[in-house]
Amino acid sequence: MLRTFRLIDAAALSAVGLWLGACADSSAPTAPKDQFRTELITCQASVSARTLDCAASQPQAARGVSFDLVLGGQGALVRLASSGNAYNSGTFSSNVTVENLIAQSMNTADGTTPDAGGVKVFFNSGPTVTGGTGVVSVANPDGTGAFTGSSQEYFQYSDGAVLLSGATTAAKLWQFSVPTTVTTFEFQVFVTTTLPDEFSAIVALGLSRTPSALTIAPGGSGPTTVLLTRTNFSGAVTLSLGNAPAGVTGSFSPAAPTGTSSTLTVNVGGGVAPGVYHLTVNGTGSAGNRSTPLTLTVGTAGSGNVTVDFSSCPVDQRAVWLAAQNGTGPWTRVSGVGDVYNFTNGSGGGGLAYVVLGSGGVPSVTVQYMTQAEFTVGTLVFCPPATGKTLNGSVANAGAFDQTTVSLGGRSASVFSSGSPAFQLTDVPDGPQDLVAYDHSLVGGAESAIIRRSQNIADNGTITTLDFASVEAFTPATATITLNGLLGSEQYVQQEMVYQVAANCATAFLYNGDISGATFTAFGIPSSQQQPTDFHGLLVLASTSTGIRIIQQYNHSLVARTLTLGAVMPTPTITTLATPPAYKRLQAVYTLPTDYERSTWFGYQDGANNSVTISATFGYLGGPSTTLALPDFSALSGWDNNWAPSSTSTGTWFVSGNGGSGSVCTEGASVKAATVNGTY
Amino acid sequence: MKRGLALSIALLVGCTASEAPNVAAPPAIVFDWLRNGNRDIYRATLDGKDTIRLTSSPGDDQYPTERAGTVVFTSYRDGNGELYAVPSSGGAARRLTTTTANETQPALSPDGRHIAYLSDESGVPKLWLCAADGTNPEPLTTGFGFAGSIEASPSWSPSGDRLVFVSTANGHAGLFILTLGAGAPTPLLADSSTAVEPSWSADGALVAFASTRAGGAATNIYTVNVATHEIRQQTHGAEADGQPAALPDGRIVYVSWVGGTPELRWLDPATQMVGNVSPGPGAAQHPASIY
Repeated sequence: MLRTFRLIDAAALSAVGLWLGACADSSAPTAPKDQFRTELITCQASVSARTLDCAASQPQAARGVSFDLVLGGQGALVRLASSGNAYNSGTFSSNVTVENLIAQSMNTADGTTPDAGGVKVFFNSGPTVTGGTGVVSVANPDGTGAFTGSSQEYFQYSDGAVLLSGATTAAKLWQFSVPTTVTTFEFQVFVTTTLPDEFSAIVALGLSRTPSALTIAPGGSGPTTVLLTRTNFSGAVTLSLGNAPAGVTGSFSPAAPTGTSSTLTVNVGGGVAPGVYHLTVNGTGSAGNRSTPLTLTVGTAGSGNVTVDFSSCPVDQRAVWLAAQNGTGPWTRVSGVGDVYNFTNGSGGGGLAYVVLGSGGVPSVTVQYMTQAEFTVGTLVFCPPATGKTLNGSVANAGAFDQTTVSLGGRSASVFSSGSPAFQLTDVPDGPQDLVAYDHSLVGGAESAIIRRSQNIADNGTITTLDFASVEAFTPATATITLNGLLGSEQYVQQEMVYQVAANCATAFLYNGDISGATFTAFGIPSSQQQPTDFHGLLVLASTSTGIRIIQQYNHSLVARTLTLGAVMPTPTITTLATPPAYKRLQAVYTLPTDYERSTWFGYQDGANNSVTISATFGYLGGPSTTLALPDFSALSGWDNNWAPSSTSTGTWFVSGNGGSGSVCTEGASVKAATVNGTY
Repeated sequence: MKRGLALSIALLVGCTASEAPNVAAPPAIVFDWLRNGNRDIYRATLDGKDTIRLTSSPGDDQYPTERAGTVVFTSYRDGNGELYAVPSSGGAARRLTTTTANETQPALSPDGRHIAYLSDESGVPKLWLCAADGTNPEPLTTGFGFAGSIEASPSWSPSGDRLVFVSTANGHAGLFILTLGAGAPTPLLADSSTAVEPSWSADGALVAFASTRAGGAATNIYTVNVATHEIRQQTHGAEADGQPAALPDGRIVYVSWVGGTPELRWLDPATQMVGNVSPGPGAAQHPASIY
């Protein structure tokens, strides 16, 4: 038998490399050496986020289920691509295709006659649970066979047909049985098939791009990098942009690369209508023609009197979905540009809802209700960019068991006497700031403090050593504080002292620690060291297993005084709303005590850490009677029912409120807060 | 364990301990067992009794191997495959490796001082060796095969100087023997049929393996005489049989997929006797002998 049966080990959902297969004839060519780079790529599925990210040897930055996004060896010989990921009733499913990227036909020994073996995608390992608990299995394999072990599952493509060069198989539905307790899982696959020609004749061109999607406003432009994966092929590849609407153009640099990358700049004309466009990046070379999709979203900055800005957040902290409600009208999905969203909010106030997936792909749903004035006081900036200075310094002669905290312009850093005395302050605002250093004994020993006024040290500069044995150090003042309203059940009580300094009322952290009983000693800054605009901010926290109460009171002088805790937060009535059944919609009904008539929150979280937080300002509520529930978003475009806790989930809930009188840095101002929690 | 079992038998038949009949305890094995939605490491005797759960991590624990009172296995509790060790009598699991690669399919050397295992650090699973505490990892097959060839299922010779393992270096999954410190691996089987999951017998004469050499997609259990290369088919069922593990008494414990569900069985190549290992409901796989 002269026919050579070859195996392509492709990708775990990607790996690439050609593998010479079984041959019964002793004259068959021997296995090649180093002819192909093989990169076993691990694919990680996030069930809650319904994504499947693949990476060569390290986590992939891009999120999505496009196997062809994988860098490294992926996409050189075959490309597995998926679409339509879904998770329902314990089954994670995805439609997967196999694209032949080599110059030869697959699943044929002579180039024309189909082989019976098809193109098989073998599971070499996994699926293995990497997040959560439980076991994941392939639910609908086409069969099992021996690849590197017995009874390994596989999916089979191109039954009875030759897969021509450049062709893509029909999609096959892959299903995994995934219990709701699993958040992520991974697996590795290889592709095997029969090839017709001598191994040495194989050439291949792979094409991918990163990022795979661009959002560009009319009149703007944006770049993406086109990556070429070459196998036995070094010629030029002519690149072009396909499916571009009128007004959208692309320029490649270089336009015909002989290397492995090119930069594509997409230009969007000012007259291009907003919308989503599915472009292609095309490559033509002697190894064949390839294309890879590129999604272009043309958007405007939108209109409206509310602006929400996530653009400075880390990628995993940006909203993947956002909706707004004008007054009590219907919720409407809002599409942003560059992670900035605009929408209209009328005199009746309204709501803002968004979903963030977080670093682990665990979704959190946030709903905020505010008045029009609160929504429009300015741009709602999430993750304000760090633009301040970085300063370095060190402390000396702190006590043996002390924590020293250095604060400047509202930024703080702590050092412990058991570790390095060096510290670094980041994002310190420019301009004169008052520096406060406080040396707190963790074992009840002596305390000490240093204050340096009007410090304006250059960026990356050094703060002169803070020496607690020097003359600038002073002994803190003390005062006896009485806590009013402490309950016997509140066994865990803490105090924390901050010091507000300078005209900008910047917060400097002094210390915190446990206290016992309703009378305790607080430490602070003696009057001889104070400026008129300085204020002590003493916080006391009292908690039980089902609730917390907090008061923070601001006074210029540290003298004996009484602090009074606010009311206990009442236990709300928690009910499950009937619709939709696809996810858990809890509702909390309660009456806010007068101590907490500023804002209130209701949140819940299931065992998979999917969480919901709903908040409302008192101005929006208009009174103490409070009803907060997760709205029904199921009919809104882009909403994923799996973002919220599942309809069958159990978990924990909390209700919080805060209020108070006055504002920070005014005499006697106080902030009170309370929380009650339970399970559902 | 053996003493306790003998005493139990003695009490059941009404004898005193000193009068207990000389009943040999069945061999003990370790295996991973998927039950109640979690895969952990268990041990049991070949009659399916005296089952002890050795791990209870929420993550997947797989591929146990035992020597000198220690069970080493692969655990995905950290998000990728890492080697762990646990006393074969039970106790706290101890992490042996900490890498970003997957360390899988460990095989403890007969003296319990080394672990042969797979690492996909290079991109595909390759054979590596480390000390029993996970230190001094080193690749064993550098330059063997080609960059994309896959290696799997290492098993030690009883003398501890050779390893039999699977490699696709010749274009198909075949068995190779690596003599430590003596150059490149050499093929154990002359033909090109698929052969996987080797296990070296306790007397060193045979290597059991799974193969489709008889045709069809389902594997059966075979043995090959290491000296004469004589191959004998040991199972003949239509269902897939695989993952053979040689036991000290000459028997082979293996997995049979009955209706797609893995079940532990044993066979005796000398007598052709077969039996079931029935620890209970669930999917038990990757058996290995307790020595």
